[in-house]
Amino acid sequence: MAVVDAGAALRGNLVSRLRVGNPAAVVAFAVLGTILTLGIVVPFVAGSGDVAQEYDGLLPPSFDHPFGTDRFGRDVFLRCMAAARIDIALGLAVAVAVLLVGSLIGAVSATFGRGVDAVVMRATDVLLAFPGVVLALVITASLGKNPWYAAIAVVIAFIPLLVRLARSKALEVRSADYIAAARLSGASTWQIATRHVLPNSFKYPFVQSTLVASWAILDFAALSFLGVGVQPPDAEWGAMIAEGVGDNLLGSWWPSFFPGLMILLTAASFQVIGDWLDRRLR
Amino acid sequence: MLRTTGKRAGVALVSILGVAVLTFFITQLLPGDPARIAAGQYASEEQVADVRAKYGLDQSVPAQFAQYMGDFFRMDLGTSIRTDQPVRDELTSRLPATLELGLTALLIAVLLGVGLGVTAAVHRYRIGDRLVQVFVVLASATAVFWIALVAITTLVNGWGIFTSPTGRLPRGFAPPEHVTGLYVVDALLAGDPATAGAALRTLLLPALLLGVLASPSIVKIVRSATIRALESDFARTSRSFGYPARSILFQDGLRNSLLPVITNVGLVAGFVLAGGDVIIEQLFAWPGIGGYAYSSLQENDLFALRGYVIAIGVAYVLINTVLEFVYGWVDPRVNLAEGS
Repeated sequence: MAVVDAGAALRGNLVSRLRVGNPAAVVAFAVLGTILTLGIVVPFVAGSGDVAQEYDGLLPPSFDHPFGTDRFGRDVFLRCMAAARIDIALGLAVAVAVLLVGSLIGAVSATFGRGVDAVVMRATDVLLAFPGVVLALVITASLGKNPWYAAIAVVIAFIPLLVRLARSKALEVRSADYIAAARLSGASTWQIATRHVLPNSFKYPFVQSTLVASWAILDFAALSFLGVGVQPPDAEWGAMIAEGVGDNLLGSWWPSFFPGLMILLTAASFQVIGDWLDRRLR
Repeated sequence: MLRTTGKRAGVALVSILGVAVLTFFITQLLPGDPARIAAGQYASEEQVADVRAKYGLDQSVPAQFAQYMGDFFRMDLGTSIRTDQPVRDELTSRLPATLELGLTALLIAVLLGVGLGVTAAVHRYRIGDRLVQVFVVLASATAVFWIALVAITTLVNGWGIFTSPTGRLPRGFAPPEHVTGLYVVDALLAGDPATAGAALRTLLLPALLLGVLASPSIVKIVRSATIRALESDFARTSRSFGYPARSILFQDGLRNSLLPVITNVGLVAGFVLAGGDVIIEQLFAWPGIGGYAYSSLQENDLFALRGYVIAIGVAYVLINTVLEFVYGWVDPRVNLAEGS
């Protein structure tokens, strides 16, 4: 029995050495890296080709136009790549903003005692009383149709989720001995919250924020699709799909198909990377 | 039990009040000018002033708030600028269509979620599990408006499997007599299987899309809970007693893994009844409240949109509160833990 176990352990060890990383995560990083690189390089090379109406309308995908052209004679590939920059940057920016604000509020809420905690928890209760997209939708509709407002709205919609997570992890950290030591050595509550509780509970909100990036891209595209985010003629995946709805129903599937495929690839990559981080850091 | 019941009801009340206050804050106090947005970009100053006067936006903020909360308690959601009808009546008349679509989608999401979650748990760390994981990633990364378009192109226009996205019934069918407002049920009650079949076939595609996209969170929860149960000490004991695998799965696995699904249903309902629903109803010309929200948004009818948001917020709080009660009822340990 013992011999068999040793053999299995050796094999396991070998396998784990040979396996450089999680293959799914490698693919996800490659896909995301490719889209991001193309998103930076292609618009740079092509200039303002994403909004220029210089070709025939609704050409199907071909060698010259890998994703075809849309109703206005714009190259769908160029537009998809110009949009990649916006959408990925937005997903990352929302994730970072949500992570910083959410984990700070969560740490403060857990450290500053019952009064503060109760207020923060009721506030998140109310924000979580709305499905996220609906909250973002009404915020953007009230502020005005503008991509910046849509981005802010998406941030607000995701903050309560991160606050909840950061708080529950911060509560676990709060009772650790080094917190008591810091308190004894005269650190203020704010110092304890930001220097000790926050860094030590940061891991879980951080992992979650990669998923937030994925959801943020989907929600932002949905807002643009509904007409309150990025406005035409600017290229954004959701807005491009909205522009292609009519053509799609009349048989030209490509102006709306490829932007959606980009959303799928990007959002899926963030999800896989999030799962991978989750397993690595746990 | 009584203590937790009271506490939950209290939290629900506070949340509902919070929904009202937050909606007021968002729609009336944020920097955007609701009268300007509602009157339209090209409206003259006078037209904007008219809208402002008509909706009381020229009064002081406390006066507006008092008026707003008074309306809220009388369950008056205001009047639509676009149609000049009370928002509450419009929402109520459209609710059955949304419920028919939403409940079907919810049912699909739960069946698919539990089925795939259990499959993944039984085949854990093997190929079946991997395939389910791939499904989870893809389904949670798919934009609902995109997959709906792809589905309409292929399944409806290409292969003709489903009927055209033109509302709740194909052309040539009269709506059944109103009993529940759910066309499939009403048609069956009226003894008209042809209409029921047509309604079901029209309903199926949008409901499938919503249900499939809503299922990943259920799959994840069921998978991890079932794995935990199957690898638990009590499952090991059952195994050592020689019970068959099927009985262990159903007696030890499912009974424990289905509990967390109840809380998750609230989240899924949020997507099915509100988030994804707005988009799906618009693309399928489904005459429900999501389509109403979409039209209001396109026509800058902020007050109709506000009524929709309040209704959704309150409904969402109520759904989640009921689910908490159900959870406490099904699993008494929750009440004990919260009461102590």
